[in-house]
Amino acid sequence: MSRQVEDWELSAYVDGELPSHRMEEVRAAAELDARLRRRLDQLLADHHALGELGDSEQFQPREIPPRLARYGADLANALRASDRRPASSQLLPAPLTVWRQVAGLAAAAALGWGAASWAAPQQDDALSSFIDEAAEVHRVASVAPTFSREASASVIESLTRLFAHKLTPPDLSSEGFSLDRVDVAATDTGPAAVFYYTDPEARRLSLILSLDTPTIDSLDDGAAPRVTTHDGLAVSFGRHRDVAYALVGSLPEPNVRLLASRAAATLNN
Amino acid sequence: MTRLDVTAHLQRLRRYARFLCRNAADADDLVQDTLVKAIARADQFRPEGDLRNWLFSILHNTFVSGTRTAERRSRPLDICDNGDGFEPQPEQEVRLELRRVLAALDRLPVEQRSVIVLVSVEGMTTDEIADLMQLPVGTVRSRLARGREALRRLTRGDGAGTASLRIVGGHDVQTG
Repeated sequence: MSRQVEDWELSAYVDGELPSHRMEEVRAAAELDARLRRRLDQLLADHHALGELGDSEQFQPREIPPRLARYGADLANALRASDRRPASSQLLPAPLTVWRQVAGLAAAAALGWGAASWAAPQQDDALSSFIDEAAEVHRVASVAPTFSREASASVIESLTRLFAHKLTPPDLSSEGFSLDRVDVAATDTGPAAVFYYTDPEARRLSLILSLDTPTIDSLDDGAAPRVTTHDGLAVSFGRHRDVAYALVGSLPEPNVRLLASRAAATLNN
Repeated sequence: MTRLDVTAHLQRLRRYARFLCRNAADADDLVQDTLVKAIARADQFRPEGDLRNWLFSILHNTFVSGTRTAERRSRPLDICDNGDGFEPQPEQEVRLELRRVLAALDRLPVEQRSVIVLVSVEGMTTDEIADLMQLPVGTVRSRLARGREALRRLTRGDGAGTASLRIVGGHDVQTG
């Protein structure tokens, strides 16, 4: 035995993290010292007991709650979207990425809708706030129990009065998304109606509607929706009559834009 | 498991959260907060990075910062109810010995409890934990050794362990 066994070495012995020669020395020391042997045995027993506890159902229940499964799916989509981006853009902070996309596409904006697929949030603070809020509403939406049909109808009635429009939740079932619930969100740009959708793969979409005048004024009525990314979420937004809308999800941007286009077409028919 | 397979890590995150919170509902809320933050920071995840460690790091920091906030508000550990609410169901009854270890673990400061759980339950190395917690590896080894020794003493009813490590109101106190 070359030297005394330190406390951290006993701990490292339990984990097999000591160099092999030192492992041997600690083992030999424990054989000669009953007290050290007992300490080591107890440390090993606690280590194994914790491992056993971790494997028990108390700590590892089999079922994953749906809300966590949905957030997990959203994260996987966000990571895949991020993974597909060029490495150089990943090095930029998110706002800079957006600004660079804006700058790169600004020149093409005059070519029409197809080219102007990126938002230009700097054009209007209200619009930028609306996009921020929409992404936040989507992100923090707790996946509450689905409203009953009657409760949803009641919320929609209230929203219809509030919006002075007949609001019909857009039908996205042809794209595999069904309406989960309807809600009202308090945002910095005023009250917003929110329609939450999910598909069988637990991917979530949130459609946010606003009556905020500055936001509405910064958008062209009936123009095809534009799309941007916000902290890994795709946000497609536009204006339909006197309502500004934003559809938010972790799907690829073209898909969200397409869905937003379909949603807008049936918004207040 | 694919490189970006989040679902494969969900159960491990929940397990770690349960060891930290000792309350199933609070643990799942902690995991949800973790996922929300991860979605917001998806751009920051390096493609060559370790997704498991990245998620554990977010969860750990969320828990620690929440605990600190709770301490500042003089409501110790209120992000995770450290009391009842997580009693095992009869069919999940664990052996008395295991419960004793669990009870002792609960009495350790969170910085020791967390490294012990990450090593003994999650099978992480001290290098991985140092990377996850942004700490020198020597600090992790020291916390682990001190935590294990305290756990050993508490589990065996050795007064020396309880005298130096007792959590009152979310703070470590020296009781002489």
